[in-house]
Amino acid sequence: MTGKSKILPWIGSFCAVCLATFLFSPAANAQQFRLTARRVSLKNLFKQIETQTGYAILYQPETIKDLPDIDITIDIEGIKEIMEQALKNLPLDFVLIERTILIRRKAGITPAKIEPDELTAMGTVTDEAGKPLTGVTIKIQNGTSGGTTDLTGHFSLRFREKQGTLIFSFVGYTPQEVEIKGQKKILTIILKEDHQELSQVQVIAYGTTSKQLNPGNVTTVKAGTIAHASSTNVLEALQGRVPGLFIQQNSGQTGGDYLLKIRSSVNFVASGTGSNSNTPQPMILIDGVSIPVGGLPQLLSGASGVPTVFRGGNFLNYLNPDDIESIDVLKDADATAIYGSRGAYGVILITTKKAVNDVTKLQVNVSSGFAMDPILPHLLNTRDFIMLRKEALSNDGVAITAANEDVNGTWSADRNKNWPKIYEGNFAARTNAGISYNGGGDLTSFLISGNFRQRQNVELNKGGYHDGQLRFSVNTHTPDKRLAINMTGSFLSSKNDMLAFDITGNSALFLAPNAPDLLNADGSLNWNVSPTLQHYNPIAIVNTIYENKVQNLLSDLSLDFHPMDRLWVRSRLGYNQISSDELSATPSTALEPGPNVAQKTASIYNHYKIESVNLSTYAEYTQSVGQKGTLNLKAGGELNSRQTAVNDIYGSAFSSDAFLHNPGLGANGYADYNTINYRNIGFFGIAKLVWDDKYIVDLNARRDGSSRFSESNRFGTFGSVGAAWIISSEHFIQENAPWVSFAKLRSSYGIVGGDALADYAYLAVYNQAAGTYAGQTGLRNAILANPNLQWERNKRVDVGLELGFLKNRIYLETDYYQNHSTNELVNQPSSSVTGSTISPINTNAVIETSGWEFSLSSTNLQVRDFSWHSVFNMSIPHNKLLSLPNISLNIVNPTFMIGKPLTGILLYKYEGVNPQTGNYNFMNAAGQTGEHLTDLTSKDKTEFLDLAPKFFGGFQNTFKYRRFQLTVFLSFTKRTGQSYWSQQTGGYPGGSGNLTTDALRRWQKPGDMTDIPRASAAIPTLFSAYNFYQSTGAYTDASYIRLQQLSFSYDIKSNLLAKAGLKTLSVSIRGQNLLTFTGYKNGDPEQLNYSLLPTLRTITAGIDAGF
Amino acid sequence: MNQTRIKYSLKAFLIVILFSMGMTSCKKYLNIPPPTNKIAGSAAFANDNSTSGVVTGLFSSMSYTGYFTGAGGIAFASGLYCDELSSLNVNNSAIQTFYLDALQAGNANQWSALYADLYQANVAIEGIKANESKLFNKDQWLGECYFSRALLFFYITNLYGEAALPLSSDRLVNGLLARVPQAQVYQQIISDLLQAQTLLSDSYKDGFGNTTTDRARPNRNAATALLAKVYLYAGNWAGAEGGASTLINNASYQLEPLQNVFLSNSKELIWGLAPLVPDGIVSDYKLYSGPMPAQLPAGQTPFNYGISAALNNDFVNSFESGDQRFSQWIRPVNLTPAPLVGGASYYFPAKYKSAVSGAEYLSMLRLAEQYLIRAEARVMQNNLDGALADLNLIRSRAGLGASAVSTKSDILQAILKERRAELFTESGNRLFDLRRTGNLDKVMANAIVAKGATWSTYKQYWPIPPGDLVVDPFLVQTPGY
Repeated sequence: MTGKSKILPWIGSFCAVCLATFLFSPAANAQQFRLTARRVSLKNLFKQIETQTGYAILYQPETIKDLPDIDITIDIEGIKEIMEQALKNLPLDFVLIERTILIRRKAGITPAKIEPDELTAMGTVTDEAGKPLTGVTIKIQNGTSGGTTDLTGHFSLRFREKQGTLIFSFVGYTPQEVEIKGQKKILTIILKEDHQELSQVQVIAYGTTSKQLNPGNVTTVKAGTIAHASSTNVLEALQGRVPGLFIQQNSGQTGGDYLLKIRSSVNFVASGTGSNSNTPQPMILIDGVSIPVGGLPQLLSGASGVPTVFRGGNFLNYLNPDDIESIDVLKDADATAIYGSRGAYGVILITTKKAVNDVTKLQVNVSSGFAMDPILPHLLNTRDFIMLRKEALSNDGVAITAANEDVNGTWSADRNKNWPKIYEGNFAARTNAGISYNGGGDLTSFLISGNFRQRQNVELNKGGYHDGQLRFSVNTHTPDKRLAINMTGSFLSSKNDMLAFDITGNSALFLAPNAPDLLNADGSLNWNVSPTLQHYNPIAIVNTIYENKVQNLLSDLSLDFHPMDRLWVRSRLGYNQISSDELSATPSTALEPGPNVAQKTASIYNHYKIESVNLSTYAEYTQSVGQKGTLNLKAGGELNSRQTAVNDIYGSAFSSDAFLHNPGLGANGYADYNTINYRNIGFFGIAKLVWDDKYIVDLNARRDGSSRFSESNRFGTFGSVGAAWIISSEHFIQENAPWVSFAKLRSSYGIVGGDALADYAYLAVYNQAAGTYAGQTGLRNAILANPNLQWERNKRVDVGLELGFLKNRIYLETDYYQNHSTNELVNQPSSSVTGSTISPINTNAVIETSGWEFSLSSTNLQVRDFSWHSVFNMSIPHNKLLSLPNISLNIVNPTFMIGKPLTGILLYKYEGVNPQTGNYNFMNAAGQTGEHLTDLTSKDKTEFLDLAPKFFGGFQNTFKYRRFQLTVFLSFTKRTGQSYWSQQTGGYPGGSGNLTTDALRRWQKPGDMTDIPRASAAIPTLFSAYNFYQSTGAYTDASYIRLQQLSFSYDIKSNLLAKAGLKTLSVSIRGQNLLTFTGYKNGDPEQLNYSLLPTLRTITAGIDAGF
Repeated sequence: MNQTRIKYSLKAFLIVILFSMGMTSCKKYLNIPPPTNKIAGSAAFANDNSTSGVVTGLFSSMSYTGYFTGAGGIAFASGLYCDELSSLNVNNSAIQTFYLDALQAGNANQWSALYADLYQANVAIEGIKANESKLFNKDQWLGECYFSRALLFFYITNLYGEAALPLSSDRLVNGLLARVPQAQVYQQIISDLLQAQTLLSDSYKDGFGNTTTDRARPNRNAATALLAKVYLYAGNWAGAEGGASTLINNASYQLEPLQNVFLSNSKELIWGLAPLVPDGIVSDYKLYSGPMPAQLPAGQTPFNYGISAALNNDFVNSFESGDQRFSQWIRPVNLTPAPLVGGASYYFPAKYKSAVSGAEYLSMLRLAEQYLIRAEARVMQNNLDGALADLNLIRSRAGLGASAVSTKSDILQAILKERRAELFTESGNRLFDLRRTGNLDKVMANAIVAKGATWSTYKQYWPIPPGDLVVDPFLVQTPGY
């Protein structure tokens, strides 16, 4: 059977949902009403009118109880006319309020008797903008009965009580109390949005909740926060915002990759990118569809083998941050266990903006600015450079020869060039323009938007990153409010023709400051730099060709079906497709001129397409339990499918550069095509009981299957239990500590799975061997398959305390978590007699990750025109290896040590610069201190250093004065990293490449106490420098505080605006990464890598207009 | 209203049922198609073409991955290790540890490469046996696998002595094997070769099972030739003589003029490894010659051409005058200015001379060796005249006169000397010959002086990777290391 036919039953069930809901849906034409009936009861007549027009007709049964059936013919337009026609000749009157029709007895005619012990309430609930609110809970104080509003915000309820106070509450809004007495009354309730932390709506797996009633640990970031940043990738805007989520840019280059880490997650298998390669990446879902994380199948090296800067790129580069409504980061077992085999490393839910009912708004925004490299290394000037070179040659006892152009006078000592500034010191333009229109009518609303973004390259100003996008969202519901449909679609096309090489660590930047220019005046390459560089021009890559066109389609269809009270059936179908056409080529113009240069030309074309499908359906049922409880049950199933197809065509030795765009025309070459499938299926159940808004218990269970495992190990069961106690609702707090406005203690425990292993790792496969043997191609068994592989199991415990003071003006949230990862996947060493020296297994090793998270928000000052609001968060993550039953794992990686973190590294012990000789000293395993030029082995690496961040977080202050708003956001990280000095030189001054000014502190004569060794360019110093690179001396404090975002905005309000047809107009200036306070010199403390472009500084000014 | 509700609930119920029915097929849903550039599991043995591909994978690995050829190959490493080659690259520690006979555990990792292919052979044998009914040429594929397995065991035991004997692809079993005595390994080799003899056909076959003249895949005669060599090593003289005679009496095989011996269409070739296309060049050519001119430009050394070893002076001097093999199979190269008066600066093996794709095959088994095997087997059975006849045939092909020796021990020495001159830098023959004839310690005692190192008897076998000892408690290190 093929894969397609297996998906059929699923499509079948989805279609069944669609079909069924269609069957229930009457004609949607609300304006025209046609009816001819004989002897129809008033009740049925009203029902007909309701279903055909979408209006709600409210009446007391007593009102029509004694009235006879009627004969009627209606064929007119307009609700008022219809009603007039219908009620003609009857003792009835009607009132039209919004979309509700209230029927009553005409004055003077005795109304039907209302039961004295009954209270009736009806009406509508909307938000401040007039948008109807669905699902608002209505309860009578101290009573048992209640109900909710329907899809159009209407409600009609009866209570046993004679009178009472109705409480209207809804997630994200301030509850409202309305006192009513036994009289009929049409209520129009307007709920105010609550901006307080507690009433925040949080998107969780299969639904939403309020922060107040959530027993799990979820951090929500709203669109407004993201909008303060002028980021290309939303991850940049998230940096430092979410406790427990560590984000690092793996390259400052637009289009590059990111490292994500939720709650210090680690495992043994290298699946992440960046400095800590054993970081498993969290799962990211956009509107329910999981997206690829940890790099896309882009080219990892260019046509001639030089690595590209993008490192696979990142899917979220192709999601416009302006389209995001909210981001929810799920961290503990309660929040993640429901994702079964995939939630082990945390889950990030991205919800995009949807159409909003009944609001018509045209919004236009344009912003423009520039980006720049904020950290250029401080290199030696020509005078100091030459001095050090001569000192080194003299120390080495080597005479200046004809080859030493930098010091022998060939290159003028009067020339002084700052190469990093020349090649990387450019300002790169950035432009962003977007337009969106939201509108609609009673049943349907829509949102359409378009966006254009352009980012030029900082490096050599070569190329840029441009994308354009169109998007729509449609919301509709049937007139009978039984079914709501939302469909969203977005298409983004991006083109990146930047230089595909990061020149930050390129030797061109470290040329002698008096070297000739590498580029001629006309921009062509200088191949006659000098006799020593005759065959070499490090900047030749500037002429390489790179082009990456990416297209991203995101679509989502959701059906919410409400067949009966308290029951919802929700179905969702999501489809994402990202595809790329990437070309990297080395033309003859990037190569040293020569007769056979065409032979070295090369070109590679890489095409990938990743399709992800998600289909989920579940039923949700809410039931009152006893007097004070509400039970919410959900049960359903989900399936995910992802297919990745990658196609490569490589060619070399082109007869003309003109053919490079067609790699098939190379004299030599190959082509490859591969598809990889990944599927996942799950059935789940969720039960949540809220008792008296005080005690909350949440149970999650999931039976889950993943295609990453062999048939016998595919299914696993995962689950969690969470509980919360809202202490502040207890009398003893309310009486004794009234200043505590909110207190919640919550805790969760659960088992979450992790399938962070390669696709098909269980499957014994045969690969085609390279080359042909006697006319035939060989096949080879890929030995590393292990059919017994299973999930990693993560046992998670989380305890959290949330406290609000002074009406929640101060709100503090503290969490402690501890995860034990077992069944960890690891490449275990095996005897080579088996055919391979490693084999992947599930090991009994236990890895513990734990930590503290704090967040504090506070309204510091709130006077008439001025307010000051602060938000602070901090995370202190730890990880360590608790047990390692199979000690032979040490052979694979000696840093696997019990009691130590897995994010560490083993180093030689550095003993400073010897004051007598001026060389680096190290201590070997035997405790002997000395230069140890050639006798250090891996066993002498005695020092363990953890490279994971010790703590990190962010601090935001928002100031508002009238219509001015200033937001200042600082992020901070404490960690250790490899120093720029040790990376650029390996640690000795005096070589032919330029160095940072640290070199001036070098050792000069016996007795000098310094941290920089003597100048030397001799071979032994290379050994010493290499040892230094692997010693503790190369590591330094890399902590920093960064002014991550600064934004200033002003809302213009003037009569002129209205005359110009404008509703709103605001201007803003935004800066990203403006300042960094750090002891880490010359490089970016975020990436800690001298050959990567630092995170860029961007400054943009923008205008935003609403019509 | 109530009726409607019931209607809705019924329909909702129906939907849930439909949905659940969809769910039941979920197990099948998780059966994903394999990657398009891989063959999953036993599908590789579903027909002759892919089965042949698996077996071809073995030969292409032998030809490519470097335990037979190139700088990591057995011929090169063992040549440095004994008295054939001198290292020119003192900075290359991998080459120096072999040249200076200073192997430590972890240096001689041909062990891992050989066992990696042995695993492939075992997987193939199991796969073919399980799918016999689907295969037309199963005898050929199976025969080739047994032949390969025997060949791999032969080299493992001759390099490392006692060897682990994995006969299945079960990695749990193989991960806990102990090393067994050499005699037991030879038993297995012989049994595999006997099977190969019965399975393989007399004519050469290609990867599609068609008869061909190309000698890149072993036929029955190749199995016989290897078996003769194994019998010789194991002391079964009659068996060795019988096997060699079969080859010598087969008109398909003839001694070629010296310049033709290593060509891919040589009639002397019994089985050779075809270099992988597109390159198609025997890596020994690149290892010892490549584009290096006979007269190096001023300031250049062989190292400029990536060449790290030359023939040992002692070996160069051991050639009898008039030996055509010296002029045909050895290439002098001079430095500018030449530091030596008279002779050349360096002599390099030059059995392989061609940069033309497919022109030469790496000779693994050839007729000349079979003559020398028979000569030795005949001496051991006291057929001295017969032995001399075989020996002199090889000598006369090299342009030398008949050997003047007459006693049994002198003839044995003459055969050993002839093997040295005939089979140098081929498949580790020199090291194996010295050891099995009991001459290793004596010869190395001399050779080691020029190297400036030390020799001990335990060095006759190489050490196995230390990691294997940690993970397999039953494996022991080669004695002495």
